[in-house]
Amino acid sequence: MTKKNTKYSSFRLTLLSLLVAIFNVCLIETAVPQILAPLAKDSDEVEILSVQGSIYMIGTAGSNIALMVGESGLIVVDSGNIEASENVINAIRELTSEPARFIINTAALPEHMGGNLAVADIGEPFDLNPAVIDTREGFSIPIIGHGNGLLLLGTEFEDLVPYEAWLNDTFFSERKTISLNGEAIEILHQPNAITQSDVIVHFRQSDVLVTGDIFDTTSYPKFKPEYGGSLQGVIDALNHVIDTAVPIINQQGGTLIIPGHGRQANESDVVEYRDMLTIIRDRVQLAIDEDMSFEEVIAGNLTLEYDGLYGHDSGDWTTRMFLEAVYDELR
Amino acid sequence: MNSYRLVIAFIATSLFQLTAVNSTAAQGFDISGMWAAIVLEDWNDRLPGPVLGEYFGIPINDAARQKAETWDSLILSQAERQGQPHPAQYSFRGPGPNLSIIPIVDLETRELIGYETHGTYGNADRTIWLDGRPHPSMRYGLHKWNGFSTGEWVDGMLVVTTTHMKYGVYQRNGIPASPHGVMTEYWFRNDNYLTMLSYIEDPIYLEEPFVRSQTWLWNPPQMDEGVEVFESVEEVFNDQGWVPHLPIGTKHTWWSDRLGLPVEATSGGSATIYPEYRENLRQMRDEFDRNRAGE
Repeated sequence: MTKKNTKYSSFRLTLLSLLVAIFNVCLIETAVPQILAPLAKDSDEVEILSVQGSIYMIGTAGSNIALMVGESGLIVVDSGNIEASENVINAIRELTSEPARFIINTAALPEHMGGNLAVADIGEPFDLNPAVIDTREGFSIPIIGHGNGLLLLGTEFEDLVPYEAWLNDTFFSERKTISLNGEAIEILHQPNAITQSDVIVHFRQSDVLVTGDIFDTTSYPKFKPEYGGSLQGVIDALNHVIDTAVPIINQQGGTLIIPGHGRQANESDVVEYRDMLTIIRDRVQLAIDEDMSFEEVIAGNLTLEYDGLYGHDSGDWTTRMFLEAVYDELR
Repeated sequence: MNSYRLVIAFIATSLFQLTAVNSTAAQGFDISGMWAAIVLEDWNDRLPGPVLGEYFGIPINDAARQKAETWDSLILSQAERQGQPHPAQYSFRGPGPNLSIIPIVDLETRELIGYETHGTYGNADRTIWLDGRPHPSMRYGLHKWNGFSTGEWVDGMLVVTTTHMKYGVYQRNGIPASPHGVMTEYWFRNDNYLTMLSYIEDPIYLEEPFVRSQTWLWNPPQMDEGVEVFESVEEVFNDQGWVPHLPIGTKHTWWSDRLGLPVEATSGGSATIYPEYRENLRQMRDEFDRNRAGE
C-alpha cells in the first residue's frame, strides 16, 4: 500500500513538474506579432535606415524618402509630408553636411513633395547651364520629375503644393539619366501607373531601386484613374522593377528596393506584390465576364487572402475603393 | 492537507523558476556540430511533403485556406521563383534538413555571440544572435527568407525569437505564412539528441499559434553540403508577368477522398488540432459513408 502511494505521488510530482515547466514557458517574454498602424497623415515622425552602397532611407508618413550621400552632395528622392520636413532635415544633417544637389519626385503627388522646399533650402546647385534649370526666384536646385507631373500640379494640386516646390527639371521621354558621386542614376517613366507622372529611380552602383507608390508594402496600390493611373499600368511597372532587380543567389541579396510606403524589400517581395495584383485582376475580370455586379464581387471575397496584408476598412483608400477602381477599369 | 502542500509546492516552484526565467541565464549547452534530422515520426509530411488539400492539424483561417486552395504549383516555374529557398517558417521542417551549426565567437572577447545554421533547402542559412542586439525596424526593416533571430538562454532552454520573415509557407502545398508572423523556438538538448519546438503566431493567416517539433541526432561524420546555387532556367514558355493560379472555389479532394472523409475534414483550422476533433471525424466519416451508400 505504501509503495503504491509512493508511485502515485511520484507520478503526480512528475506531472506537476511538467505543468510548471509548461506554465513557465508560457511566461517567457517573447515578441508579439503586430501589424503596425499607419502613421497619422500629419505625423512628424521620421526613421532613418542605411540601405546599401551610398543610399539611405527615411520613412515618413507622407512617403519614404531615398537619400544618396556622397562627397559631391546629396540626391533626395521624394521628400515626404510637410509636417515631417524639419525632422527630415535634422536626420539628413546627422549623416552629412554636404548640400543637396537634386530632388527627384517619383510622382507629382503632394505627400511625396511636402518637403521639397525644406530640402531645397539645404541645396546648392551646380553651375549648370541656366537654360537647363529654371532660374525663377525660389528655385534653388533642380527638382526632377516627369513632365506629365506639371499637368497634375497645374490642375489638381495647385493649392496643395507651393509653386516653388513644383518640378522644375522635367522630361517627356522614357528615361533621363544623371550622375553624381561616381554613380549612374536612371530615372525611368512608368506610364499610367499610380498617376500619369510616375518614375522609378535606379541607383546603378549602389544597386537600389526607388519605386514610389507603384510598390507599397502597406496597402493595395492607390492608383488614381482621374490622374491617369491604372491597375495594369501598376502591374506593368512592377514587371519592369522585377526585370531590373537582380538577386545574388537563390533569390537572396542583390538589388534592394525602397517602396513608396512600408519596409525595404528585394525582388521576391515585389514578385509577391505583382502576383497578388495579377491574381486579383484575373479574378475580377472573370467575375465581370460572368456578369457579376460590383456588389457581387465584394460579396465574393475575391481578395480575402490579401486583405489582412494590404486592405483597409477606413481611411482614404479602402479595400472597397480599390476593388471599385479595378472593377471600373476592367469592365 | 496534501492538496494544500501541493499548492504551496506549486507556487514555490513557480516562483523559483520565475526568478530563473527573469534573470540572465548562463549558456545552457552547446548546439554546434553536425546534426542528422530524425524524420521517422512524420516522414510523409517532411520528405515528400503534404499533398494538395492536406491542411489537417494546422490552425489556418479562411484567408489562408483560400490562398492554399487557389495556389497552383506551376507558379514555382516562374523565373523569379525557381531560386527561392525555403522560408524560416518552414526551413527546419523539410526536407530533413540535416544541420551544420557553427558557433560565432567575438574574436576580441572570445565570447559566444551567436550560431549559424546551415543545411536548409536553398541555403537561407540562419544566424541566431546571442549578444542582445536589437531586431531591425518593425516598420521599415528588410524581411529575409531566414528572418532575423535572437536567442537567449532561459531556464535551461535556448529560446530563439525570429521576426522579419518573408511572405512564405508553412507547408509545401501552398499554405501561406505572412511576413507579420513571429516565431519562437525552444531548443533543448538531451544527450545526443537536439529538439526544437517552434511556436508561430501569425495575425494574418493563423487562428491560433502553430506548434510543431523537430529532433536531430548528433552525427559528427556528417558533411556540410555546401552552398547549392539554383539557376533560373526557361522551364516553360511564358509571357512576362505570367502568374498561374486556380479559380476561387477550387477544392482539393484527392486526400480527403483517399481517407474516406468529406473535404472539410482535411481543411485545417484550429478545431482540427484538438483531440475532441476525433469525434467530429467519426461523425463526418459516418455521414460520408451514408452519402456514398446513397449514391
